[in-house]
Amino acid sequence: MSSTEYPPKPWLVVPKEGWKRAWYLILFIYYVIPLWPDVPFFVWQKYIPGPYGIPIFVWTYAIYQIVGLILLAIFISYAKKRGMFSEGVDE
Amino acid sequence: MPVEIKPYPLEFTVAFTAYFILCIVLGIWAERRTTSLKEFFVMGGTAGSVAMGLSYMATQYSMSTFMGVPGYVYAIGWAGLAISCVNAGLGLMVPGLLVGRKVLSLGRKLGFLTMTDYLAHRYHSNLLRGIIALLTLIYIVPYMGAQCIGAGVIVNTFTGAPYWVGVLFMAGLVTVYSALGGVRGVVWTDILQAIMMMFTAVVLCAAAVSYAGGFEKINAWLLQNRPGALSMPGEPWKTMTYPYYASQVLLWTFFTIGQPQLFTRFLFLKNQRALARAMIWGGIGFFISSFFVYIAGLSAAPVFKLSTAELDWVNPLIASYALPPIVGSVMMSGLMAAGMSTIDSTLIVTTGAVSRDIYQQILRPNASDSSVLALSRVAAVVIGAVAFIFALMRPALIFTIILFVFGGMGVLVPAIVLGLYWKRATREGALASVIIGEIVLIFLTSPPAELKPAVASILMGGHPLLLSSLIALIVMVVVSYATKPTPREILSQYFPE
Repeated sequence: MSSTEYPPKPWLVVPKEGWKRAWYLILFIYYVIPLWPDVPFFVWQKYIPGPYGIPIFVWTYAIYQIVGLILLAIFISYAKKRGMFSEGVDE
Repeated sequence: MPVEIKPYPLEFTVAFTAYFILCIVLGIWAERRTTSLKEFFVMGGTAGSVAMGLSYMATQYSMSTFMGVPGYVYAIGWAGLAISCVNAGLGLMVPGLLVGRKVLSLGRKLGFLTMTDYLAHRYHSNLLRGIIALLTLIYIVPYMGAQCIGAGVIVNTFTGAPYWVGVLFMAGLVTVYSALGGVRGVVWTDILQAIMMMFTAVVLCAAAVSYAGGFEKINAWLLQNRPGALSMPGEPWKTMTYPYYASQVLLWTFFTIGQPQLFTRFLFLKNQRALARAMIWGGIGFFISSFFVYIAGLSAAPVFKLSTAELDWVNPLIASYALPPIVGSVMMSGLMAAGMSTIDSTLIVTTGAVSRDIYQQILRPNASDSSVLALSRVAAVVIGAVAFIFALMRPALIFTIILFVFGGMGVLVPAIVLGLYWKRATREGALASVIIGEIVLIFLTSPPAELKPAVASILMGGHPLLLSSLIALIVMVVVSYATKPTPREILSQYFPE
């Protein structure tokens, strides 16, 4: 068995299907937003009071997580329709 | 405001006893359905989405989530909430999509009962099995002990009973229902404990905010006294920087793959669809538990003046002062539940390391399942006793022990992931990766005094696991290419043509 039968694949975990790649990219970008230094997402550098006296970025924490869950639910629903979670498919 | 907790032994004892009886009943009920090894270790592969999602959350979140992190948020301010941000969406999604789907299918096809079963089969190595079983015992037993330490301190504080009473209560209870009901008992109690944790988080948050006079008063106080606590990266410890946040995202999503108590949950599932729905249930649990309990931590800042050594006590203080005794006692049961739901799973994992990995697969390959099942129950009792002794010794702070354990098992991630995705990954590569990764991790965690500044500058504030795993990954790739490929008959089961 030569090594040419097993070429190196740095993209090993990147799916082949376009729809799945698109979804992974959406989720990746969503969760990378807070790490982007020039876009201080929930990291407004000063205190801005929001509704009920709660700082705006605390509201953002909550909304960010809920939207993340909704995104995940939509992805799972879509992926189920495409057979991603069917037995014996893409395992 | 004083920082002494108001003890209420009667209410505390009543609430705890009721809660503990409920757990024992669930354990006995589960025991009636636990008649085989597969039942004991993976619930016969019948877990549904709610059981999986909530059990996964309850296992990942421990006492540290309810005591340590709220204290940290108290200390640095609202910036500390960033720790909770990713788990709702990614906590179960990353491990579920990356390894869960494959492990679930492979587990059914090849009969895996433990994480070590998978690694030993994929890399056709009993040596690797032995090493990982040993690592599991070395790292996970102290982890169990760390959770019991919290129980001992809480019981001591609220009832005045000696420290060892709480430790014995916690270790004894978990050992009884885990040894009786195996994973089924663990999962059923996990669901109860997850509900307790979410309820506790919400009630503690409401109580803390109300006791402090509402959000507006809390923020006005912070603005006047600790303005840095209202913005990033927090004050007085300016820790919530971008590198730290990124490192937390990786630690609590990607590197949980190496934790055997979480990995084996994918073997419990009844099918792929249950895994899909479990991601949502787990996400809801992660969100409610962490978000509210962390807010409670900072909300207590205007009313309780705590030193660094007292930070872990912020939530017990809220329960003690802001709630009626019986409700406060139920909240403390919720805190204990966070620890119990972690210990029970780790107890099953360490039991598997002894009875399944070392005894049945290495020492006595012909041992019958019934004898291994009996041994598993005995091993659970012995390991529970060792964890009890460890907790009595209290060798380090809870959070220090947990971080050490987390790193130790996290080093296995390259071998786990590459085994599923890379045909060229070999036995020698996996062995080298695990051994060298562990050595590097221990060195980076406890470097010689003269090298500490150099190591700190290399780590740049990140957890030593990140660099150790990177080195383990490189070693695995290099050694795999330098050694003979895995036999086709094994590969064909992981990578069907």
